[in-house]
Amino acid sequence: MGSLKEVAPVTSGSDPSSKSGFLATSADWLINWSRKNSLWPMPLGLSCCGIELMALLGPKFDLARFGAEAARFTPRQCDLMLVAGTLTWKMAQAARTIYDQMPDPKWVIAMGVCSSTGGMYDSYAVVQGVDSILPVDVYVPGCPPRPDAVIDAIIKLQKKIARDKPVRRLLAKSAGPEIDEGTGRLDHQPNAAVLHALADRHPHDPRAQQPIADRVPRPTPGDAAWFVGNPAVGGIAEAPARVTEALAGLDARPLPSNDGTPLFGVARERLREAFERLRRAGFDQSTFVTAVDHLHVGLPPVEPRFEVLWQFRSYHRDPGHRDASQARGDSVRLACRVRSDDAWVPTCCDLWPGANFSEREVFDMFGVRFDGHPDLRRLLMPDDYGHHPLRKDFPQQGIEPDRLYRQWDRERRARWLSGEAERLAAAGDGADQQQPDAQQPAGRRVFEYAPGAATDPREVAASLGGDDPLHGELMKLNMGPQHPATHGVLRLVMTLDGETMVDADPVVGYLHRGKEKTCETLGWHKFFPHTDRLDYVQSLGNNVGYALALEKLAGIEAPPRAQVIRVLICELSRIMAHLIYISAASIDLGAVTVFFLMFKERERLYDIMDAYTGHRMNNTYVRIGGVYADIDDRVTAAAHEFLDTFPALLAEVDKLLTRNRIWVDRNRDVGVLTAEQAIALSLTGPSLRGSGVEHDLRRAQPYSGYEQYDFDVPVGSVGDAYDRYLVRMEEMRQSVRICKQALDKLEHVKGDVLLEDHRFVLPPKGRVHESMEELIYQFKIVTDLRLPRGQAYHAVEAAKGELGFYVVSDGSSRPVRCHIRAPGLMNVQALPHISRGRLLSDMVALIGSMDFVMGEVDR
Amino acid sequence: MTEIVIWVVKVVVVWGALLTTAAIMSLAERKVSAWMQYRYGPNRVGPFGVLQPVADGIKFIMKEELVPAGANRLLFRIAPALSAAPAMLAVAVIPFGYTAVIAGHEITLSVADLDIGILYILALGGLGVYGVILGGWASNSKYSLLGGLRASAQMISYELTLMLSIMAVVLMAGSLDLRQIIEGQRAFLDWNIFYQPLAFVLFTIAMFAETNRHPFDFAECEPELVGGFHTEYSSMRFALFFLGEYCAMTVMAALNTTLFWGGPSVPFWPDAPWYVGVVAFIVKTSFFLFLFIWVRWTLPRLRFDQLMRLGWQALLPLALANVMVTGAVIALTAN
Repeated sequence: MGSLKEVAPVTSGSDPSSKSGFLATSADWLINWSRKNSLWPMPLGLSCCGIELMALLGPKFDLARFGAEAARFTPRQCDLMLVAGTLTWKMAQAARTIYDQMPDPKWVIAMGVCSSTGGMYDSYAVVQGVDSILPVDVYVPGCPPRPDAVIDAIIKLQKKIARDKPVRRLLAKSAGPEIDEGTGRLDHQPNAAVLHALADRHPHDPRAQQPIADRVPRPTPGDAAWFVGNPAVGGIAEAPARVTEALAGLDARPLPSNDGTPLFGVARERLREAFERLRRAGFDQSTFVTAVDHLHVGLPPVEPRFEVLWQFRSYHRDPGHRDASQARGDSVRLACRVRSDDAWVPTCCDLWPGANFSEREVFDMFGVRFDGHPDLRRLLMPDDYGHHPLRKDFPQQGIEPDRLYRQWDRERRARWLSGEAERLAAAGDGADQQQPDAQQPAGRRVFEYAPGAATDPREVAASLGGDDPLHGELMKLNMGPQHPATHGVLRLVMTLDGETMVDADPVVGYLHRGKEKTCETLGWHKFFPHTDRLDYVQSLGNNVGYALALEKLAGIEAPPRAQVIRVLICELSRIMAHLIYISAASIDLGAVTVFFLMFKERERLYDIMDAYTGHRMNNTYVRIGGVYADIDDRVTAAAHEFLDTFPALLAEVDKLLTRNRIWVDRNRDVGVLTAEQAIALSLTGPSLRGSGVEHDLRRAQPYSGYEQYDFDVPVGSVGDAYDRYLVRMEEMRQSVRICKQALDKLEHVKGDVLLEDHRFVLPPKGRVHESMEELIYQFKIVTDLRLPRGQAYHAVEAAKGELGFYVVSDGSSRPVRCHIRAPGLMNVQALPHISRGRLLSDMVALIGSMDFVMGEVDR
Repeated sequence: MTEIVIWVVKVVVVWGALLTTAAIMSLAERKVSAWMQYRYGPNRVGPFGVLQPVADGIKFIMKEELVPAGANRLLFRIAPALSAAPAMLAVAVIPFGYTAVIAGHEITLSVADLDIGILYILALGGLGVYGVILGGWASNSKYSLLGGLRASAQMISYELTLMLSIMAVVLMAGSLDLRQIIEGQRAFLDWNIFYQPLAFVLFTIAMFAETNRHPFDFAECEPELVGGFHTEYSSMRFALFFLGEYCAMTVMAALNTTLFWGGPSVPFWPDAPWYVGVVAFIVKTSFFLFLFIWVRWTLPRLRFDQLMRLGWQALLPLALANVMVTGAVIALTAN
């Protein structure tokens, strides 16, 4: 009987003859009722699911009905942690810290497959299910789950809370030794058993790592140290005169490329000279810096192993290239091969400040050092990570990916058990809120755009402070990775003089999921869903960019109708992305209602996307050689209706923001970038056009038939946050124009939406079900798509700027390299330059105005 | 004996009304914002979600209370009370009606009739900021500290404007007694709003700053400072800060009504029964409470230096000029 009582205490509690039992039950009921109806969430919006989480708070779903809309960004006031999105091991420390800082009782909902199981990211950076670090109450499947599913999870959680016996727990607590569930005793967590069970056969277990033999024997690069493209497809592009002049006498060797961009191989000793001459020749922007590892696992080592690549663009028009091939004269690509035992190249970020982050990324991912770089730290992985993930001999699932987290966890628990934290805090060295690793590596210099300016934070502060007697007392303030204004998981370590920002150091990589590595593992075709989750507020636009790069490499072109559909979905995606920009920027500056207006409108776009693709976001509807399915009349009718009514909303936003004195004051003259600075910082898209540079890839290098559409490219005049806002507002109006033209075109451009080419293109799904041959083709293309040997770069004008894919194929089914040129990363990079000397409050406006999505920044 | 009973009843009624208003405000904030944003707002507990504040309140009471490591424990615990108490005390001198006659007893409709009522309110209003500053400082968190610092600078700047705008009304009434001020506005055309429109505008702006409300909510400022001074507060202590804020809003709204809109005076019905006066007072006060919510969910937030510039360079000179002109006119007409 005794044991029965323990197992089922409900019987004694609900016994009406026992008065105390009745009281306890009533109290239980009241407490549970209040708890379940007042679940204030901690929105840990990590990635795509965060956008659906915002939609959940928005007009259509309205989480407020359950009393659960009061999202608090300080963990102290939350009851429910909503882990929405992909948790990386780098972010895990912060997530765990936040969870520990929440007061009891607290619950966790794992929203989406990534937080439930790791989802599609079986990579070296991603936690394979948040239940390995947090006790999860409800799991929500979906990628991302629709908001309805999360509401269902909330209701399930309410039922779970209703079963609790809080009074008994209170009494038990006061009687026995205190069990502090909220301070990190992993063993006391409900899922601890799961964790221990997983420890042995976790995919990340180093013992589980088996070398994967290549299915296709790869060609050895041979004695030619350069990667030779396919002359049948690409061939050596003709370089404009100024490039050949600039590189004359440097032994620059023209190499074939598949995209028409002149490519030169330059020896390391001559690189520095080549950079300087190209800079003088008018190449004023660094488009990307990346590298390719030519090692083949299973084959003898190749030396020189690493090929480092630079691409530069010129915004100074070359007078000799006024014709249609103008675009070709705009860019030049350099390549240099280095040995793995001597992996370094000279830096170029003194000439092109925008190359700073790219070089750090190459260093992080490949271990190639950049000689002369002022601040060569890891960019995406934690500082003491110890591996270079994009090297070919690094396994996809990583080597002990959780090592740093476990180490941190052990130390944290030891500290907590020994009471050291209390002592430290008493000594005035308290652990800061949400600050897992506040220590900066020593010797970081302020990286300055203007040459000759002060580089020591103290000097900068002195130059800003004037004769203020209080200046010079610097304070470090950590913002993020979980902060309401950082749009996801950006972290900014700011040095403040009072409220004036002296320096801001963006720390990215908290959402680095290892996409480029994943592409090498998965193959070309299976990577499509991953492109959706780059800039997840405009998924289809990313699909198009990736498909175009692959088509360039394959030498094919989508049929006309597919191109029109691509333009339509690109522009609708742009509107979706800019709506997110307006909503995020306005909520940061306190205009909360605008946020909801935007989401009301986005819901209409979601409905259109849902009708066309079957999912609200992350649609994956573009394929090599076209789009998955034709657009039907109901979708076009819905799009027409949306486009007719959407400008009315923009007019309303004009009233609420554009002509609002407070909004203007908050944005005008904040974060001014001159055209020259914007170009040098590698900015593209609205951030560049806000500074008055009329450069739009839809105009400069038209793709998918953009040259047939009539639209304007708005540019700003001052280059401040307000200009960037106006540019984006106008771009939405122009997108409406383009969409309308595309819809008109759809009326008379008929035909297939998918190319008939069994080498690269999936057969239409309908035929797959009927024909054996088509099924075989489908199988071959999905599992074994081989693109011709070569390399190609293709960029599209995404909402954030130039979204480029640099793809390298060796003719086998395994991609050699897929580098994603993320415009958002460059926007983040610009933050320190435009924030210096401004007030802390301006940082919020600046983050909003630079408009980045961390999924794309971190990749 | 009867006196004491009347007094106790008044205290209970006024405090009950204030706390209820604060609870209703916490719901109204969520409901009104929802209506402005094409949403429903809380509607699962009780009809139209009216029990939402109850659920929130019980939850907060039952929540674990955290004191961050390194916090000054004493001040950290006292601060919320320091923030909530002044507003609750200040309501005592607000006259919410004229004189009621119930069962033969003449009852003045305010808890206490101080002849320096305005000074009393201002003094308590000045104390309220201590809760915010101490809470921010004692938390041992940089965000809280910045929030507390901002609050202190803001309060000092806007208290001057607040006082000077009240001063114009005091000059007109010739008294610091709030009852005298409403007695002077019994007739509709005697309402101070018709004589002191500028003072009213200044008072209303300062009222927002003084209660730390959007667009001047720099002490909290969620997108920048996460939660500002209350970042580290959990459970009921956090709720106390909010209770204090809503109580302060209610007092300020009532004060605005009293100073400029005739208090319990009913337009074109000078001899209205006392309970109609009370209803009129509640309606007017409710409007200003609604104004708080309306503004919060409409406007973006100013920047801190813009707020200070507005306070010192625009509002303060205007308030000074207003007092001087008022004084001059009164002096001239008296002669």
